[in-house]
Amino acid sequence: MADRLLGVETEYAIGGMQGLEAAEHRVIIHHLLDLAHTTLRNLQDGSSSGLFIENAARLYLDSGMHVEYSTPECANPWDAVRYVEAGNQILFNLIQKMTDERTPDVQTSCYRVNVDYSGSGATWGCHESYQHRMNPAGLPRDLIPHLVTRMIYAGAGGFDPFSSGLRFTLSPRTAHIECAISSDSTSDRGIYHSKNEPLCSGYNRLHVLCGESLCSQLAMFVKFGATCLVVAMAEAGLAPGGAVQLDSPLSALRTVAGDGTLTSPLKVKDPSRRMTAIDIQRHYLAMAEAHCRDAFMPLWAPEVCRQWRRALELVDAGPGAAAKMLDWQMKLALFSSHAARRGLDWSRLTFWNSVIERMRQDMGLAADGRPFPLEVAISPQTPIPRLVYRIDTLLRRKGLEWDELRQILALRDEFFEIDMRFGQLGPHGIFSMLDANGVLDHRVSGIDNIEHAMRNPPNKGRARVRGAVVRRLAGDLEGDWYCCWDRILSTRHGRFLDLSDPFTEAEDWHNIPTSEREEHPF
Amino acid sequence: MRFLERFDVQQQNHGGGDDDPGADDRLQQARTEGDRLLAAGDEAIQRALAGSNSEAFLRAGRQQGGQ
Repeated sequence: MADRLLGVETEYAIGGMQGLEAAEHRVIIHHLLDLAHTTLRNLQDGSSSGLFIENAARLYLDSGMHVEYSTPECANPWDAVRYVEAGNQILFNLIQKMTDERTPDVQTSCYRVNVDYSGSGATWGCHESYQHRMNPAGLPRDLIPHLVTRMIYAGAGGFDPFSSGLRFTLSPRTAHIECAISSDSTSDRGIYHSKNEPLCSGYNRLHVLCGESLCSQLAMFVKFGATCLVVAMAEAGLAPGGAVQLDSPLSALRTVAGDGTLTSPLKVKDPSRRMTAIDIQRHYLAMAEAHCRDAFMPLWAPEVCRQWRRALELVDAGPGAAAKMLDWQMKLALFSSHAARRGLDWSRLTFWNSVIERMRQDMGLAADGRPFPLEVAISPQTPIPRLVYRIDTLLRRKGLEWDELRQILALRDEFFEIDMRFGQLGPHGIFSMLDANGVLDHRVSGIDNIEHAMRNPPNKGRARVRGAVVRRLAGDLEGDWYCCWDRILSTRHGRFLDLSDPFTEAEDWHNIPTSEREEHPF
Repeated sequence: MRFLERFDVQQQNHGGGDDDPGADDRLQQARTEGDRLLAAGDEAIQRALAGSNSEAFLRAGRQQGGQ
């Protein structure tokens, strides 16, 4: 059975409130990273602020001034989820410590959220990396139909950040995906990234950009596990995506994200076929089940197939059936219930969103997520009198009033806040409260011992070696050690540890050639 | 509670036919679990939003520098 490695990068939103005002972001980040350096056993990563810690993960400040945590290389989806959750706990502990010791008057929280609803137009990514040995040219055919449709179980749920109304989506991150494949991760974002930066020798790296931070263990487990199996089948030459080629991946991505019923047919290149997102996922699953004990598959393939099938059966049962298991269905249930409490009819949001969208277009306003200026639009001086007259007539016929739309717009920020607070780290997050209450059913057997994963690396491959060496050398301040994914080195000692083989199990130390000792290691 | 109504209909559609003696029990259980989830969700949301100004909250979490 074949070994596979994967890793996950999570970008966290961090916000501090000082009384009723937003606290200075840079001050919070400065304290947080400084505490990470002083309280976690670590080696610097060569950037000004990053570090590798003793569980072999990397913690650093990314562009956009957000804190990012990369799991160590994991050999199975249980470990991938375990180390994501270890990162959550490490971040939460640092924030607690910062609040206690340095910023007691600031209430700081950290969030697993995927889009910024404040109007910045920014997104927080949750990227996955999958090691593979296939020709990258074959990836689009085999991977893209899977990556487009897996959001039916792996979508975070939330709202379209560019809608002027309140538009629920299975995957808020989708609004930031601008093309099928990109060469960059911060602009013209693709479903995945073609930059092949393997950070090791002998393998390529598939870097997925369309994923989202999740809370449900089941959603994370199936997302990582299923994608690993699709990569394995592609690598084995089975062409898993060959029969389900999408006519327009980007258009399909938006269709799936906007369809909570999961019934919309997607245009596939074979005009004789009409397939929904569930059909495409079932196609991949059937192939994985047929090959799950083949030599090229990992040992854990049968269990991933079992959970994958369970997830598909849940979503196939319709909205609500997975409300205790999958992120987007949990949120859909909570949002619609909260709407009812606030006197809103959730089922009429689609109608009101289409009203806003039409008026926005006629007023020539950008689709940038800013609140719609309803009072201007329907005032006696409206710039769109004919359209407003027609909508007025329609509302009277339906027995509706503009006040309902006023209420939706007034509550928009509240719903956005609920989405952010759903993924808040620590016991006060909405997901955490539900989990503690025992009303969820998202856990996957075998994902446990998070405390251990905060201080110890996975037990396989170079991550195990890196973690052990970071722990051993963290106190050697004289050594001026640096760490990166494929080596650990000290120009002062003239030594480096070669970690270029991702499956290495032993420390392989070398002398740095004298001619290279004065150069910056990175 | 449109969500719950949908939830019930789906449970009925997927929960076996008239000749399934356990269908009613499962439906009742699903309804009870759905009620519990929504009640816990409402309580959690109220606690999370207590005293919060949503606009200021979103501003505080705004991504700096942009990505």
